Amino acid sequence: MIKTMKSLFYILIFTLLVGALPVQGAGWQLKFAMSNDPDGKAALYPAGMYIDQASERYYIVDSGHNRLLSFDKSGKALHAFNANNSLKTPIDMVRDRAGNLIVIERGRNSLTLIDLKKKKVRPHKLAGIGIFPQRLSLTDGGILILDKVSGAIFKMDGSFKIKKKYQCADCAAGFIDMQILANGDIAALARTEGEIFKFKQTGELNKKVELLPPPEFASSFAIDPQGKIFVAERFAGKIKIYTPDGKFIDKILAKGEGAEQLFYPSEIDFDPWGRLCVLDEGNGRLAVFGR
Amino acid sequence: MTEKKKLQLQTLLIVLLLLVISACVVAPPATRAPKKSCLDCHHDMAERLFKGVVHQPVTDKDCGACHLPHGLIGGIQLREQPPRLCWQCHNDLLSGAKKAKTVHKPFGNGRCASCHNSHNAANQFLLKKAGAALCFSCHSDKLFKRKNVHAAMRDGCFVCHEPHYSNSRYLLKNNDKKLCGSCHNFKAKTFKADHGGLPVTGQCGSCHNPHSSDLPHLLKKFAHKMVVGGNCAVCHISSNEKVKLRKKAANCRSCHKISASGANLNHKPYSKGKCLACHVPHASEYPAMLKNSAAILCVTCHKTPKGKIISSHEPYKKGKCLSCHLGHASKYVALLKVKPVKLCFNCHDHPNRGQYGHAPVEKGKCLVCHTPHHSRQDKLLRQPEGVICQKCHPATAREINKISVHRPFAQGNCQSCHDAHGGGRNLLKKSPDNADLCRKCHAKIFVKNKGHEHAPFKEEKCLLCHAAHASDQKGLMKNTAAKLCLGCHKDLQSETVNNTHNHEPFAAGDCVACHAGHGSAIAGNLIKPQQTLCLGCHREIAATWATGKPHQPAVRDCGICHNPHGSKRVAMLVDKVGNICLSCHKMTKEELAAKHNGISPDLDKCQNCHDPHGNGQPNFLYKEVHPPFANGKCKTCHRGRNKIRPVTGLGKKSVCFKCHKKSSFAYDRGRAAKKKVVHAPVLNEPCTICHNMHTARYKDLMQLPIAQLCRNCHPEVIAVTRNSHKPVADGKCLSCHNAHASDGANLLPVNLSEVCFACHKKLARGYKFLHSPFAKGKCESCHDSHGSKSNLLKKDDRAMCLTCHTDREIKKIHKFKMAITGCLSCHNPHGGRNHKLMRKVLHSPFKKGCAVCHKKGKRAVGTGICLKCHKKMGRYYFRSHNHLTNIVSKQNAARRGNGCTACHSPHAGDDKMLLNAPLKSVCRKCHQGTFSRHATAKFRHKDMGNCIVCHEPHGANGPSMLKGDGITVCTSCHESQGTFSHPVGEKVLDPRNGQMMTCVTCHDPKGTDFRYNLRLDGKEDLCKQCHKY
Repeated sequence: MIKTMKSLFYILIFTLLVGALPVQGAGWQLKFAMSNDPDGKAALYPAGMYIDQASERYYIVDSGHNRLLSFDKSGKALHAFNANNSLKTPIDMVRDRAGNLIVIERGRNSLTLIDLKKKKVRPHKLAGIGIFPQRLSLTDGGILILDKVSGAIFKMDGSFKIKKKYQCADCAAGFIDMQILANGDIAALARTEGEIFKFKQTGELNKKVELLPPPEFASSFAIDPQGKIFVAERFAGKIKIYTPDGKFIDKILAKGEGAEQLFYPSEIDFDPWGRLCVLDEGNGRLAVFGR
Repeated sequence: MTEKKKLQLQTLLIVLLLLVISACVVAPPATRAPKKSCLDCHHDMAERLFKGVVHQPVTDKDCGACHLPHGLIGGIQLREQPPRLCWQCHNDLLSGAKKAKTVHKPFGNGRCASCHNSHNAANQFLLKKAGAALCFSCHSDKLFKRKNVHAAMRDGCFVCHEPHYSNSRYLLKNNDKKLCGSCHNFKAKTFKADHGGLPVTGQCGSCHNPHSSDLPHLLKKFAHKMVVGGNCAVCHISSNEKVKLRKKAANCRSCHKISASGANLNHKPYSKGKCLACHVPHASEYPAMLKNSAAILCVTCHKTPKGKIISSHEPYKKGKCLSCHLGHASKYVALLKVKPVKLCFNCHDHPNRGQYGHAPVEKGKCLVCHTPHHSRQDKLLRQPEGVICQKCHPATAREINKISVHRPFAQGNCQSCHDAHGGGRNLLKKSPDNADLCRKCHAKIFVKNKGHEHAPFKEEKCLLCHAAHASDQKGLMKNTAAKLCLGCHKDLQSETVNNTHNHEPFAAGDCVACHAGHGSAIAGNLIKPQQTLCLGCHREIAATWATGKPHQPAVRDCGICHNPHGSKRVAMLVDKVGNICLSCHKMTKEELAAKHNGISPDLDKCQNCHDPHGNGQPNFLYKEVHPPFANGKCKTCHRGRNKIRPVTGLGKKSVCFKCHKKSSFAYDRGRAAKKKVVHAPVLNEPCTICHNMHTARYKDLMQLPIAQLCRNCHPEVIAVTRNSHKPVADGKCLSCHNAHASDGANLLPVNLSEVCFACHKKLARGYKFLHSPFAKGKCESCHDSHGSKSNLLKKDDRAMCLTCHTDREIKKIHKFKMAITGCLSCHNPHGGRNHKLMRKVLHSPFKKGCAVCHKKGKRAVGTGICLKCHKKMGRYYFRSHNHLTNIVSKQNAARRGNGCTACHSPHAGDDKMLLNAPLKSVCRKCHQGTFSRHATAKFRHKDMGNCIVCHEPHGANGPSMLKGDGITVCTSCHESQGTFSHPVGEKVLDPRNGQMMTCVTCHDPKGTDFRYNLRLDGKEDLCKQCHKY
């Protein structure tokens, strides 16, 4: 009895203390995580995500099960879609203004257009032009793809013809992730150099931000509305936060399988509601963190 | 006969006897026992169940009609669950109910037992209670027992109502006309006279309450004046035995002049003259002759929103809409009775409780934050608390993006600290001038009797250091600790501005490394007792004390000798060494000399011989002792006793070279140089610049550790970086350099390769032809021995080669028009099997000629060329993670087009894989972090350097590019573990993430600090990750 009372007392004290502590590490707390389809089947090796502000949906690209999962704003699983089993190792996707899905299929190196209304899947293979897209973003009048081979970003029109190229000729491995900024400019992260390049829409380099100290092995980055730079450390399982001019501020989360832990984070982004979304490939989930 | 045989015979006889007895017993005839009825056992039931009105199956003693026999295990088991059990016999009720307009709720819900007993009852139809008493168990009897009770009520409710279902409203047996007409003669003269001479033949309920009333004639509580007076003809007229409305009566307002002076906002039905939308014309049980209670009536038009409602306004909840609103017209918005500003305060006290009022409250704009009826938030708030506040306080809201956020602020619980209606300054619930508010949550911090409290903390001025909402510093600090602390402790800033030796944490502004911001039980607000605190960093002292005797002042207070923030003296000493020592060891010069064998010691150099912190040696002398001193031969060095100090260094009068051979590490000034290069301190300074003459803490009588000593003069050269040479990183300068003099430059040996090969043993052998610099041992001609970005090379490989070889010469040999890069992809810079120093293994196309891969005049080659031969490799391109598309080439952006050459040489290599460097180095080039993170792990995988044992080097679909899943890779070596360990596989899911359990769920093969490479302590911590208990 005394033991139980003692335990309860300690738990109470602990709870009070935890509650009273200021929130460190930018105060990010897990709001919810999305991993299972409506039938409860968990995603395997999710490689990409997409947040559709118009329909208030999150999409996870489940590369291990060759399907796309959709969730509502609160994280409730809505649908699992595999385009009649035709997807081959999808790694990223966007939903265009016409409601079509554009998916990067690494399994056949294709930018695949899925017309949901006509129920048609139209692959557009890219091996012929030596491009292996890694990331995909929607931009005015077209799409942006990040080519993993050249490390350059290509702007393509609706028929997947290259219109513009954004690159860093001096970078050892080129870019590994990109973001479209609020003013339409494009930001890209060069992993080896640990630098963020900001391009104008015309392709002209506008600004270069050196992250100090540089990330160890960045897999993705995101920029919050205040301009702070969040970088996902793939192998360390952490998110590093830098000031807009690249000075390290803090790191949040830790490596592991638990609730606020990451195991090979592959992509991060801010959703339109100001929450930090981390696609955790090793843990097979999209974790949403809020303040 | 032996005893054994006797025993056997006795046993045999007993068995035979038993057989005979059993044969004589006659077995009973095999007849079946008669089946027992339920009442055979349940005698008490028989007594109870046959009293009063008995259910037919009970009368028939057919318990099995409803119950199943229970067998050996007791309990009541019904054949079917009610109401299906009841419907087996009473199915006529079921079929009738399906067509009925109204159904009695208990019947509809199948709760037969709420009215009926199942076995027997004292009342007809097995009813639980007699007559109306049964109905009153659910329906309140208040409305049935008023002054005048309907005569029909005497015979109970079932005179008018059906018990189960009906085709009329209210479960009535018939419509009004027929039901009332069964007792009341509508055609009787008296009846007509009572109803103003009008022919009334139904709709009795529009004026009368059928059960009871306080008014005569069972009129409803609120009846129209004309109805009460029986003046029906004022409004109605009879025509052909039908009742019609007079024209004048069609407009209620012709009699009911509602005064609403100034009211310009009307209720819609009122403005359209639709009085009957809310009122009944004759009588009602509700005030103002409303059709129903306001709670029901108003929401027929003003719908309640769907979804969960957390809070409701009390009048709204009770349906008292008219306590705030008027029914017909009002001057104020939403037909409110009075100004909204005043309305709320009719019931609620004015909430301005404090000195300062919240602006909306001051202006009476309660609805800025609250909703008047119901809300999905607590306290009728329109939106979550934080969201409402943010709307008016956007600047504060933006603070959420700072690094450190106060938890209530982060969670939007503004009212944790603020009173939304009014309070102290900034609407705080308690004064910001003390810590009452903070104490509410941070009670433990405010536990008094700390002993030494920081003044702002003692005065409870929390906001002097902390930000209330958020800050870009940890711990909600308003600024960096340095700026914040020195803002008050200005004296400290001015004192230390000219210091040459500052304490590292102080210089870094990390005040909280030593001090507790709020205070502590220790003087100086130190976070730990001084000794523990200091020894936490200065571990070498702790180590000495562990084995030896400490110097008491050092134990008592480090501050006796050191200034904790900094000073102008080495080791942050508070005074000259001699002064510090003599402050305790009070001696005259003579006494001091007497203690030192007649030699007067230098007062500022006590610490040269004595360990000021203490150790296990006599007189705290250091372990390293100069032999003459150890043997007490002072005269060896000290010629004139206490008058003349011995001279050290290279000078003629130096005493050092009485024993040490001058020529062995320096040169003699008057003669030919013995050594070409002499270390500057040796040349210009006394030996005591590095060495202690008597005793020393460090080997070779060094004053400081070698690396520290060297770094004092050569800080840039030996700054340890990520790419430092290992001896540099380890501080082993003397493994390459001679400390005093050398024949080689930079105090290195003439033949540097000797030093290099002492470690790099493999390089020294096996080459038939040697590269000239390598052959001459001039390692330094290519390498920066302290560190560089790539393989310790001074420049990138092409630039390095061009320091000796000209571009023209290279082009001539290679017969290429274009510039040559990547020399090391073909040549071994140290040696080779032929004079061209080609690497051991040549790529077969390279042997055939450049044109096999290179187009004329073009250097760049894409992966496509490689895949022409290595076709199988192409499949890795299509894996979600692959190295083929992940190219690293700093030198040449065009080379990024070929993933193969990031790791392999396209021309030649030192092994079959043609790797650019040893495997471990190739991987480390990108995955440095992974290697260094596990470098110090206690338990490491034995194949840690051979990455491709587990990982697929070209590509895989898994995030860590394993050769299989986390089970197959491990069991390919650890065969047995796959069969007996913790369950793993597709059917075993990790509860933390729903993913398949594999070996790497619990083990980190790269290395951890726990046995078996477990990720956490296997005794408990690891298991508790999933098995919560």
